[in-house]
Amino acid sequence: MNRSLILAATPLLLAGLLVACGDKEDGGTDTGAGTTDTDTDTDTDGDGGGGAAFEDYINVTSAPTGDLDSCCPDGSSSSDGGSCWESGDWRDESPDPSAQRDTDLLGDIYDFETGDPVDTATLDLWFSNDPTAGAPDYSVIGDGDGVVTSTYKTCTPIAYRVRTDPDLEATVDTYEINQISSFTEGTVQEEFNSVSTATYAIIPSLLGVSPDADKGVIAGTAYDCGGDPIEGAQVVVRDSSGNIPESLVVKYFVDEFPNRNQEYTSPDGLWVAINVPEGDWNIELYVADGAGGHRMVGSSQAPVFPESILISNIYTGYSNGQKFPANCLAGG
Amino acid sequence: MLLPAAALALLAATAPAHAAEDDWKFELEGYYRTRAYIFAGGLFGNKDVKFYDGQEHDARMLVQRLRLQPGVNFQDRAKFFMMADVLDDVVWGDNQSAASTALFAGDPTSTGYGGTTDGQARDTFRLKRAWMEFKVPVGLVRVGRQPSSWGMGLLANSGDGFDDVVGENHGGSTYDRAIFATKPIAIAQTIAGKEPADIPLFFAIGVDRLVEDPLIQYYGFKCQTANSDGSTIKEGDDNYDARCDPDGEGFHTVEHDFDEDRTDDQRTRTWWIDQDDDVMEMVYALIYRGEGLDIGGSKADLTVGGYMVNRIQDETASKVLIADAYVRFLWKGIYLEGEGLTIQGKTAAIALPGAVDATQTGQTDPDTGLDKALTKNANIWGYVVKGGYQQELYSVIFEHGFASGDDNPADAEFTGRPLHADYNVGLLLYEEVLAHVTAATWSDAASGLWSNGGVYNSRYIYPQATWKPMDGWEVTGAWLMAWPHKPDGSRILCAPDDEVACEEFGATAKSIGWEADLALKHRFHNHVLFSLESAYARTTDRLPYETVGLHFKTTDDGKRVGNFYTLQSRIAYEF
Repeated sequence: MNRSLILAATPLLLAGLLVACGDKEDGGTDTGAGTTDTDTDTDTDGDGGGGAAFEDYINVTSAPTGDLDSCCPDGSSSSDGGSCWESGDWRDESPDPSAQRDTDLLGDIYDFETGDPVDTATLDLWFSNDPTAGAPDYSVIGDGDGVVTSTYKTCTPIAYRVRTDPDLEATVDTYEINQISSFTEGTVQEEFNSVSTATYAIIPSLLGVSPDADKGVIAGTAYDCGGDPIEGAQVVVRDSSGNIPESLVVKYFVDEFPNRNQEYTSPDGLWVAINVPEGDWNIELYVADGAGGHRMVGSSQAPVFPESILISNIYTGYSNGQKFPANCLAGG
Repeated sequence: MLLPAAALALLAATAPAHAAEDDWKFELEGYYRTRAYIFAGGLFGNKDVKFYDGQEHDARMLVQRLRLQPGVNFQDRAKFFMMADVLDDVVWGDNQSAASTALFAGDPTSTGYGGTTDGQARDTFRLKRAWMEFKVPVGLVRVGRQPSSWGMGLLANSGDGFDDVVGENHGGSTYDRAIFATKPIAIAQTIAGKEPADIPLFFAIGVDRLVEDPLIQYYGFKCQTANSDGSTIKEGDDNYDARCDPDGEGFHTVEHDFDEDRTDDQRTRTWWIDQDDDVMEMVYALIYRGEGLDIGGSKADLTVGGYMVNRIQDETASKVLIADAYVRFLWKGIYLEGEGLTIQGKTAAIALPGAVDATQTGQTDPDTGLDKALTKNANIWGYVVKGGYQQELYSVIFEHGFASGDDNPADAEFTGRPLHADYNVGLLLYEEVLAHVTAATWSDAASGLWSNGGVYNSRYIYPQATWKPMDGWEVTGAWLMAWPHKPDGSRILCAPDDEVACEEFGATAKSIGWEADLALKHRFHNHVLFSLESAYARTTDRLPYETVGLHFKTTDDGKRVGNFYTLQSRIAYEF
C-alpha cells in the first residue's frame, strides 16, 4: 500500500494548481462584494431537489489570513470597512499581444498523485480556453514516458484535458483551464496533470462523500494578492443565475490533507467541490468581512464534465482566475 | 491463537513412545478444488437482477487451488510441516496472452482472482508455511511460519479446509511464531500424584515477529526547507524546528514527511539491527477443552478460552492490546458458540491515506512524544454468537454478528475493522457487494481498508437450517440481514436517524439489505466434496451504486435498490 499517497499527492496538487492562470473574460454574474444569500430553491442539478442555501457554504466568521489589500483596484483597503472590492472593479490584465506567439510545446504528462509519467495519454488543447467549445485545437498522444510535443501559444490562457483509454479505467478525464505559459522565444515546456481513478475515488472517500457518477469535481487553491494561499476563505459554486446546486459538497484541506471537519481554507488554501453537475459554473471565493457578513474577493469559471476533475485556482482580485506571468504583460 | 492445534497435539501427547529411530511417517494433507462462479446478468427475464452497471449477460468464471501440506512425523514426538499453494485462486484459461491468438489459446496461465493482485499473474507455486513442532517434558513447542487460528476465526483464521455454510476460504492467517503450550494443572496434578491427572486446561505463550525492517523510513514529524513564498526557514522563525537542521546550520536543511517509503535496495548492510522499528507481539492463551463431560447424565462438550495479544513497535509508540474470548458448548443437541474480540491501544503507525489527523499537525502527543497528527486510538469491537439445535438428520442455528465501523477514518479514533475475510457469512452481501464497494471507494491506494468479503461495519442476523436426508448429503438454507453500524457516507450512505456526522443523509432504509442462501453438498468416495451454492440478495439505498459501478434499479417511490444473484459450485479432492 502506498502509505504516503496523500502526502505525496498534495505537493503535486499544489504544483499543478500553481501553473493555472489565464485572461478569460469575466463570465461571472456577481462581481460585487458584500453579503449574499441566494437560496433560490431552484433545482439546478436536475435531481429533483431544490437549490442549496448560500449560508450553508459561506459562513466563516474568522478573519482571513493573507494579503487581501495590496491588489485592491482602487487603492483602498479592507481595513477601511471592507470597501476594497465593493466597486466590483476586478483586476483585468491584458497580455502584451506581441508576447502571444505560436510556438512549440515540449510537455510532460504526470500522474497527479505519484508524479510518475503517464503512459500514452492523450492531451487535448483548446486555445480558446474553453473545453466546451467543440473539438480541441490539438490532440496529441504522449509517448511511454508521458512526453508530448505539439503546437502551443505563449501568454495565452489555454484549457487542456488529459485522458487515457477509457476501457482501461486507469484515469479520469482531467481538465485544467487558465493554463498560461510565460513568454519565451523558444520551445515552451509545460507539465500537465492526469488524475488516476484511485485518486479520484479516495478523496471523497476520506471526506465521507459519495460522488455521483454523472457529476464532476472541481479543485483548486485560493491565493491572496501576493500569490500565497489564503487561510480562512470559503468557496461556493453557482450558476449564472446565482443558484447553488443542491448536490454540491465543498470541503477543505488541512496540511494538504482532505479534512471533513475543516470549514474553510487552512494555510494551504486548498479546496475541493464534489458532485458538481455538468455545465458551466462560477466559483466564488469569500472571506469574512469583519462586520458579520462576507465579501467576495475572487472568482473563476469552471466547465464541469461528468466523472471528471477540473483544476481551477482563484486569485484575489481576479474574477476569471487568470493571472499572467509578469513577462506576458506590457512592460514585463 | 495456536491453541486448537496445540491443544490437540498435547492431548495426543501422552506417554512418549520408545520406537526405533527410523520410525518415520510421511503425511500429506491438503486439497485440490475448483470453484465456478456465475453472477447473473438477468434472472428469468428480470434484467434488474445483475451485478455490474452495463452487464448484459451472466458473468461466468472458474478458479482453482491446489493446497499441499506434507509433513514428516517422527514417533509423534517431532514433526515438520510445509504448506504450499499451487495455482492459488488462479482463473482457468490463458489470461496472459501466452498464445499469440486468444482464439487458439491452449496453454493456461496463472492469472489470479481476488485480493490486491486481482487480475495479475501470480506465482504458480508459493510456499506459504513451514514449521516444526516437538514435545518437551512439559508441553509442546512449535516454531516457524505457521497457521494461526482461534475460536470461530473472527480474528485469526487459518483459512484451511471447507468450514463455512457457503463460500470459500481465500487467505488465511500466517505468522512467524515461536510458541509453547502446556497443561499446567495436569502437570501439577501429576507431580503431586493426584487425580485426575489429565485436566484439559491449556496455557500457551508465544512470540510473533511481524516486522524486522519495514520499508518505511519513519520520522514522526515533518520537515520543510522553505516557506510558501520560497524563503528559507531559518532559526528564529516560528516554524523553525531543530530536528530539521541536524547539522545546526541555522536553517532547515532536510525535507521529509512524517514517513517516507523506501525500496528494499536502499537498505544498508545493517538494516536488521535497528530494534525500534521492529514489530512484535506476545501471545498468551488459556483454554479449557472438555470433551465427553457428564452433565445431567448426558455427554457434553465445553470449550472456553481467551487469548490476549500485546503488539508493540517502539518508534511509532504503538502499544495495542487485542483480547479475544471464545466459548463452545454442545449438550443433548443444544449448540452454543460465540467469540468476541476487541482491539484497544494507541499507535502512531497508521499512516494510511486519511488516517493522519491533519488538524493536529505540529502538536506533540504527551504520551508518545510524537506528532499528534499521527496518534490514533484504536477502539475496535466484534463478535459472533451462534445457538441452535443439532441432530444427526438436521440442525437449526441462529447466528448474530457484529463488526464495528468507523464513520470518519480520518480522525484520531480508529474504530473500524472487518471480521476476518475467511469467516464467510453468505455469498453476496458481504462477500461480493460490500467487498466491491470498499475496494472501489478506497481504491488500490488504501487496500488495507478493504473488507475483502469480511463482515463490515454492521450487525447481522443469519439463521440457518440444514437437512441431511442421507449419508453424505446435506441441504442448507440460510437468510442474512444486515444493518449498518457507523455509516461513513462513502461506503455506507447515511440516513437521518444515524447518529453520525455525515455530509449527506440521503438514505432511507434502516438495513443494508438481505440475502437468501441455498446450498447442496455431497461427499462421495470419502475424499471428493461437491457443493452447489446459490444466493439472491436485495440491497437498499444504503449503498453508493453509481459511484462504484454496481447495477441498481429505482423503485416507484424513488429509492435505489440492488438485486443480485449468484450460482456457485465447488468440487474438491481432499487428501
